[in-house]
Amino acid sequence: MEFDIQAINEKIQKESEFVEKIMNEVGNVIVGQKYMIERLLVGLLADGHILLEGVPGLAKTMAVKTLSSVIKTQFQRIQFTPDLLPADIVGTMLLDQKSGDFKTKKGPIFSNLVLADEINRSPAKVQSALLEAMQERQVTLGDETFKLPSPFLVLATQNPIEQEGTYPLPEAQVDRFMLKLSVGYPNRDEELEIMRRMTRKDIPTVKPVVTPEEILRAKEVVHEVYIDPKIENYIIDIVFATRTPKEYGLDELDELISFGASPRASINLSMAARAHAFLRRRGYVTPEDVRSIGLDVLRHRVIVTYEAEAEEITAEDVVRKVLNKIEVP
Amino acid sequence: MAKLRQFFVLTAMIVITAFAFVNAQTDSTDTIGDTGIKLSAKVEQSDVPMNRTVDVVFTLEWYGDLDRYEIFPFDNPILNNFEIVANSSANKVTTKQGKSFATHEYTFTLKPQSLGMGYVESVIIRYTDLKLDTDLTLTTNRIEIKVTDPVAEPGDKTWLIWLALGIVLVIAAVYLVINLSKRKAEKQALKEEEAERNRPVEKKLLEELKAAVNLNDPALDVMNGINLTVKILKRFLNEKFEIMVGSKPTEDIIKELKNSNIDQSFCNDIEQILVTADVLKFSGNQASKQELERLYGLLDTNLYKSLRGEIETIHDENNENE
Repeated sequence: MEFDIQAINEKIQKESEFVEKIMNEVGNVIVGQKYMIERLLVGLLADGHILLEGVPGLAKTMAVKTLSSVIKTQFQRIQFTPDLLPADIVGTMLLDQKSGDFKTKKGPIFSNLVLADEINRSPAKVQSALLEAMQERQVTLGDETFKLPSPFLVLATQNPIEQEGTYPLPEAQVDRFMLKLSVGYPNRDEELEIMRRMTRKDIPTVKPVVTPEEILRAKEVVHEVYIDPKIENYIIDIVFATRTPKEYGLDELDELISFGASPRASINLSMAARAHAFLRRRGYVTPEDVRSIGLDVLRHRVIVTYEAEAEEITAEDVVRKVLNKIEVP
Repeated sequence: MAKLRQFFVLTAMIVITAFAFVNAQTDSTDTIGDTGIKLSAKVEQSDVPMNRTVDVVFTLEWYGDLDRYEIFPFDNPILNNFEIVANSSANKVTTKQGKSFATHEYTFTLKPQSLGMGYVESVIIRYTDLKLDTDLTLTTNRIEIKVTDPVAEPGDKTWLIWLALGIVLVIAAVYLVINLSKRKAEKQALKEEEAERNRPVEKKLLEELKAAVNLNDPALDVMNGINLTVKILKRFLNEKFEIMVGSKPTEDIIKELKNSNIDQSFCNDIEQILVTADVLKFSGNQASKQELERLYGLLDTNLYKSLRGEIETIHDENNENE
């Protein structure tokens, strides 16, 4: 198939103009965290939900709120607590005492951007209600099924510390997140800037710079980004290396991996790499895109063995080894 | 003529008969006194292997009853190169030509002591003729016996030991030969490896580049040519500057190159090759031969530059200026 890279490049140049605007506008509020903002955009463009993990106070919630503000979209924040019920998320049927009919009360999930704060603080039934809606992109209340708005992006946060009284997400549920981001501390200069900025009298705000329509158009273009068979095979090699590491010369990982990444990982890695290429304003995917996004796509999909845990080897270490071993095309 | 043939045949028969007789037994003494008594000394064979024994039998025979003569006891025969391992005697009376015939036998079993000749000296036997009441003696001749090389013992497994030893020796020799030739080959391989190692990497890669990508080939697969050019470039970066390129994407390689102290114009050329190749490899567009020629030329030029030491010279100068 003859592929017109010129045309797709031009299209991307045109449709990705908002990326810089978003980055600049978000940068007015959020100091640093470029990696996190970029990944949030990848999720938004590739239709993938994101799980953010980081200690409290790293501007996870603020980043999501700021992003929703610059996109001019509906934003809802749900604070997950142990007493939360599925109906608190998806909505419920309420009896109208005047008319005697049941009326639908849609939950906060009916929004473009949903922040599920501290998702592991609620029991499994609440988590699964959210994750099912994330997967199906629709919610059934009573006899009626309601489609969720587009774009629809769930950003869930969880705290890696204070594990007492939490309900860790089951592996099958975690797999539904396209990316799992590990948010780190800012560096010294960034922290100084944060301190100065946040202690001013007038805390900076952002204005909307992009419409949901622009995001939807961009999403269409992301699907057109060219991915060469060589890159596709590179992705498959990476995913397969997490399942059968021995075949890829990673003998030392054989005892450390309990379960490798699922086919959903291949799909998500391919899609996220396209979105990454789009953000780089490129009409084709390069190995750099795959490697850059690979860790975020795979770190929550590789389950390590007890032996690995005993040796304090994390899934992230395993994925890094895989990415460092598989030869780029 | 027929007479001459008869003479030869007769002579041959006499020689063969005499030879057979000598070999069959040795009669030493045959003394017959007036009394009709006869003493003989016999040996089974004229030669005996070192690891065997030989029996010497002294026989006294006469017509009449056993008590016709009284035989006096006599000393063991004097031996040369033999020792007695056993002795025995036996009497018997038979009838010969209608008369009683008495036999008195003394058997000595001899064991050789060393290779060569051995002797049983004459033995004198004294006896009394009881009828005539006279004392008389009889003497045997000296007997000579040749002691030959030992023969194999029946059921002897010594040969098996020798055979095993021989096999072991053969195997050892074969192993030694194989080992020596292997060592020689290893030494040669090491020598070749050393020579290969000492060969400049640029020279090696230039040859490989020329062999892998033939720009004059009308059927040249351009995309494959670009892939091979990039592969050779990556090997150069790895072998010359120890940059681990295998799993690194272009962006990371360039970052590492630029962070190093390598000549910047060289880094720019490498960046150009890698970035252009990435576009051609991954954008789905057809690569042109001109592009391949340009990338090939860039790599070729930089390999020659590196071979002449120009890249490192510039790097050194920069360091000195700093």
